[in-house]
Amino acid sequence: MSSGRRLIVYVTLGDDLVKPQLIQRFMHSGCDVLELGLPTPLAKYDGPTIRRSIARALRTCDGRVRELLDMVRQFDAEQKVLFTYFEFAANMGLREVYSRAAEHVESVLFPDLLIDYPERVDEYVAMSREYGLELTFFVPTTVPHRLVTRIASLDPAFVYLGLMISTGVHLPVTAERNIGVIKRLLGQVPLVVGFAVRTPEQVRRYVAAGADGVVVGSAILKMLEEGEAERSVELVRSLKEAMES
Amino acid sequence: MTGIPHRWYNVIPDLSRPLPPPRDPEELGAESRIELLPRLFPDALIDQEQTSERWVEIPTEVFDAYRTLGRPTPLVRLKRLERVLGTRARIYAKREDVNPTGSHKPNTAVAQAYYARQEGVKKLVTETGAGQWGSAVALASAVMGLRCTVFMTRSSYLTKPYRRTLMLSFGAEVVSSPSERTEIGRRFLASDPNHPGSLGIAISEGVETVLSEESTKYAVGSVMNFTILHQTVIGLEAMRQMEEEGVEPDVIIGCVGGGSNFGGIALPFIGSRLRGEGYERTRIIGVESKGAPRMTTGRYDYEFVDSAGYLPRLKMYNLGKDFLPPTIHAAGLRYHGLSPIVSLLLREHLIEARSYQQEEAFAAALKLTRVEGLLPAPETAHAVSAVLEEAERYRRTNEEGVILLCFSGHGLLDLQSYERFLPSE
Ligand SMILES: Cc1ncc(COP(=O)(O)O)c(C=O)c1O
Repeated sequence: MSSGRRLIVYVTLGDDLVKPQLIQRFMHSGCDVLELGLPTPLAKYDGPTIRRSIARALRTCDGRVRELLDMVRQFDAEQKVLFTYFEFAANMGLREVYSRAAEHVESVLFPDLLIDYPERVDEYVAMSREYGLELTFFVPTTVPHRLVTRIASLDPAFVYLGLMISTGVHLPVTAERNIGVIKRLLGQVPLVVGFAVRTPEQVRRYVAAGADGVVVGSAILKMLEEGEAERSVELVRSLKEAMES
Repeated sequence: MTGIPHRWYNVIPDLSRPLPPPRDPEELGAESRIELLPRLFPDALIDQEQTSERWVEIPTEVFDAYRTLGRPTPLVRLKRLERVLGTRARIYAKREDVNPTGSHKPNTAVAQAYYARQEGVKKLVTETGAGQWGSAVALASAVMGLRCTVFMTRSSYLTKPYRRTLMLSFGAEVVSSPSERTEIGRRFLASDPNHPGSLGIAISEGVETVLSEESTKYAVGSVMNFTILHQTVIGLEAMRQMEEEGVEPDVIIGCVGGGSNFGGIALPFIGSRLRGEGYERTRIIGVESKGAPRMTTGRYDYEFVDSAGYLPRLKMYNLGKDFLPPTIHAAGLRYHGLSPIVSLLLREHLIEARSYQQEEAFAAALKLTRVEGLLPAPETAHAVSAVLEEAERYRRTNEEGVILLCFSGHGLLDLQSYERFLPSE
């Protein structure tokens, strides 16, 4: 994946509010990487907005989630990351996930890998290498420092720090302090941050604190729920501007 | 001489795997509990819960309160106990009973009251089982100029009238739980008018109350990361004090309710070990009651913190949120779950777990009392049982060793319990 500062937009595969044309407009408005969530009924770290999006997606596919994997190719973005829970993918079969999606994405990101399956990191690394994909890791703020150093040594495309407990739910957590701590441990490895990012002001503060990239998801989905697609494009543009200023 | 530490220690950055984060209910459509957290707790505490940093500064005013309340607490060697046990092990007790309410609980209560007041909160609400936590919050509220309401499990409300009097003396309001005041309380009373209550129910009542009032926050006695964080003053002091004595603990023992006194004494040592800075051989033993054997028989899984499920789910050893423990005397050990941090340590075999019947615990306590003059709280008595067992092991092998006990509280307001267990003479 390209390095430098990047804006990542999360959307859920199969959510009928997310139209391919809209994604194109995001891409033209500053989105660098598209993060495509494969919905699972076990939404471990998802807040209300993304849970609603997942519920819509699961209705669309009538529970046949693996069919949604084939939708990955419909989204026209230069760089795509597939995002889903390891627990779900492991049940479906990791190889199944990779063989259907690998061709169309740069990386597969499992938010629960280091938290619930740290002993299976090698499997993830091997599978990703086999399919020629880059590594990406998700960490919560409660990540051991030694583990951050260890994954940094695997040369991932980025490490994603979840700033809050769940997606879209803002809590009074001093994100800048945690970004600083994790960035110092990562050194040159790019750090992207997300969960409840919704304003250019946040983006400026997080970048100043050491973030190399920012993920936005719930804020956009919420606008789409409210029928405000135009505003969501505007949000993408303003977040990207904030990142470069 | 050892002073009070200026920073609390956060073990999370040193753990061997990430602490599993709290989770909302599994059903996709359920109301978010995580969203409720800022309405329940002061911002500073939510921030501490999620900090990636290893050390957290103790605010000057909390530091001063620690001093007024008797910190640093003494570390004492129990030589007479060693002698009657005929052991070559040296036994040390970290005296967390030496403060106005008689337990380690004020270590976090004053911090929580401080942050609440800083953020303009006017009143703290909490639950209490043994009455130790309720007393500590009542005290802390008095010291920090806040009002205070305590939901006290009915069984303790009836059996510990002087705990109630103590809380009332500090100016707090004390409500028997389950109560008529809350929806969840009324539900349990309807099922049984003489319901003994449980910590899980009392927490739900407190949470419901906080959500319905302005400028009111919840004070939580244990389980959550920040409570354990504040309690690390115990272990940080003890570590320095033992260094001054020129000894290293071979065994560290504490009782485990929600895990706060145990975590408080043990985590600084465990952290040193995890960072490769010593204490590799130190065994760390958490002691629970056979009446609520979460560590020795529970599941390690996500479960709600409270009976009504108003709070998020935490990954912890637990017996299920609806677990109704027998009305044992160590009310502080009756909780259905325990700290996710302590749970993870157990899962990773960094600590051991042991459980005792209360009869054994009181017998052990009296053995201690009759040579040292220290009367432990019923919770602490369970830890004393483990101390005796370890001392006996050293006696049999005729080895030397050093045992460190977290003497989490005194039993001077638990005398009815002692009455039941005094040997008939
Ligand atoms: C004296 C004493 N020790 C121990 C406990 C158990 O709590 P924790 O495990 O959080 O220290 C209590 C709880 O009420 C207590 O009062």
